[in-house]
Amino acid sequence: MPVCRWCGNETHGAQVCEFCKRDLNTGAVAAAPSPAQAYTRFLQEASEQTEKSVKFLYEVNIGYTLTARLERFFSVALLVAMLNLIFIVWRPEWSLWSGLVSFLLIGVWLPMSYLVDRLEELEVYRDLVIVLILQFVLANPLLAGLVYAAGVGAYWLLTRADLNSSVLIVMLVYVSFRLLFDGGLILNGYLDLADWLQFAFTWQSVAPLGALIVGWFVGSLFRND
Amino acid sequence: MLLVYRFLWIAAALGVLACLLALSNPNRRAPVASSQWVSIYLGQFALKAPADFRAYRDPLTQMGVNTPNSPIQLRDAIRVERGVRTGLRLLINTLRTDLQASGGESMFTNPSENYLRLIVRAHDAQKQKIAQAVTDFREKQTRVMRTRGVTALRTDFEYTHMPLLPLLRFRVQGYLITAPLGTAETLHIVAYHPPERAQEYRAVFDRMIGSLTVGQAKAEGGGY
Repeated sequence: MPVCRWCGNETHGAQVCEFCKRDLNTGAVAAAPSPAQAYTRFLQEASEQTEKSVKFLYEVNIGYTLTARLERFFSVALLVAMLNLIFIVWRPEWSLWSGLVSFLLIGVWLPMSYLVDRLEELEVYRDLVIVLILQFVLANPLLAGLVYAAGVGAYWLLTRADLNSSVLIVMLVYVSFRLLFDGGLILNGYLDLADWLQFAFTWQSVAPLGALIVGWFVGSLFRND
Repeated sequence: MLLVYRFLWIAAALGVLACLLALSNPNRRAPVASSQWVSIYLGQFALKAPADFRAYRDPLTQMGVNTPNSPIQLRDAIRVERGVRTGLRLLINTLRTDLQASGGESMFTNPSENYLRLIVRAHDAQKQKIAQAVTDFREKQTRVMRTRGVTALRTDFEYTHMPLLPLLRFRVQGYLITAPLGTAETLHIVAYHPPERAQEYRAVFDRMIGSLTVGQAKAEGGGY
């Protein structure tokens, strides 16, 4: 910020001191702008400000195409998945805990990547309770995802109401990454495919989905719209 | 910034593929059981088992074993298992005194002489219950064996496990060992595992059975 050598104040203006109104180089007193000039300048500044605001909203709500959102999401989610798979190669007996951490991180990144909305609507919380119950009762993530998708589809066919697709996207992400992690364990010989296809009311089957939802909640707190 | 994201997801996707290839390497299979072993005290049973095996008393087993005309009556049972195809079931059965043995002879007229007949009867009854409980039960071999200084019977078998999707069928290998427990009771050990990793699991089960004790006092002259 330049210092006016005529009055000694720091000024924002590059040519004219905003305090003594002198030219910073020559010291000549600048002529005051006419009311018409001041009004034109005001309009110009307001227009620039509006353009900036519109550009910001455009980027957030429209400018991130689906491809861009997917690329943002997978850049971090696949990295986390890769680290988890490396951990599974190294220590398969700790795969439950490494899986929970992975799902938590993926959940945090879900809203941050703008792939899903922030977790704030009541109907989304309701749907999350439904998918948690489905996962607990059906035990199998693929089956729970399919049943939920079929239920949402049937509801939409009956009512034609506007549905929030966030939970569907979250379930798609959850089922995909569960298939990836569990597939790795099955390939490694640590998990038996017969166990994966078995009904079992255990907290271990619900915990990864719970971690993903907690992550989504935490990510929503930090997303700045 | 989008280019950075693009580079990251492409690199990570390649990394995921590399990890899946490493995981599918048949020479690098995960061990069938944890190297850490823990002591389990449940009901009448005490044994050591790998830490990733879950021990519990199965209420369905407790209810289902006692069928009306069966010569054996369940006294205690636990499961120590890692999955639906992998585990060990331990049962203590008492021969029923209210039923007459075939030919009108009571089972306990002379228990010491009737020793082998007791084992055979209890073994057959338990084998029948397993056959009824599973699909496509096939008995492979039954033989007399010695375990801990007592004579016991062992039957190797196979059956089919049908999970959630009926299209998929999983073969299960297993064996049933029946050993005497005192004069009127028998101990049944049912072990089962996937056939493709039989050798590894049998070594684990042998170690578990080797550490098994039943009740507080050990029988004189061997046994469990």
